[in-house]
Amino acid sequence: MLPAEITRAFAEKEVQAAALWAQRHDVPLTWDLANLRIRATLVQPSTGEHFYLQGDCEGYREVPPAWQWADKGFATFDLPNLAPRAGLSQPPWGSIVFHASGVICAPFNRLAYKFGPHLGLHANDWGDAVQWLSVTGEFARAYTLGDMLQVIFRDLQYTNGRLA
Amino acid sequence: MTTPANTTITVYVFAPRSPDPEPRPFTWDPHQTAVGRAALEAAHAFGYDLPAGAIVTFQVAGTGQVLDPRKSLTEVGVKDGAKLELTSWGGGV
Repeated sequence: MLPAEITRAFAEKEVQAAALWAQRHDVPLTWDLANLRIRATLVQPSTGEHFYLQGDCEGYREVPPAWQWADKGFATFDLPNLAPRAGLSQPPWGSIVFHASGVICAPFNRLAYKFGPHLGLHANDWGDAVQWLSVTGEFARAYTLGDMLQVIFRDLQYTNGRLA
Repeated sequence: MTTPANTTITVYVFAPRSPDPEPRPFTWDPHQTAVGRAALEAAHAFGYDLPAGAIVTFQVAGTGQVLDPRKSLTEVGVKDGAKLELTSWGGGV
């Protein structure tokens, strides 16, 4: 895994831009420098419900962040009631990045890949997480933290309620 | 009021990767310019190094509308002074 000080150097500029993005979209955003975690509170447009998003940036940019839905205190992760559910209308590009399992299934999420013992949904076709920058296909492209947040924000409007 | 033919509009584009709080102005003929082409031009101006075939578009500030890159700026209702955020066109799963 990439040393933390290198990750911090990569992340510092990107976090600055992500913070400006967050201001434009009224998204509360925090950056935990010590633990390399970026956290955002997003509001689902259809319901007004809050969804708590964490990006674990350990190893970034060698591997993408591990994006997960959390509870309000960021103590619990990956439960169905913490993730948004796809709404009835599909986006014009085909599919949102929120899988029915609760995983954010996009090339910029480490959890979609094979990574160590972890086998994500795309372990077979996207391969290892270190290949994230070379994934091809008609997927959402996001190569900085701000761009990743923007895609997640973009797709939230196509959701309605929670997975459970 | 629709933009007359053979005129241009100036829109203000934000990019999620940009550390500059100010948007950049871009001027286009809205009847002749496809959203995708405009977004690609803006992305390059902001320093995006996109892989071949990557499609970018805009999300309209305030409404959240994601613009169809295949249509012209006029067809999707972009007017002079609009504020737009660069975003990827593409899904997941």
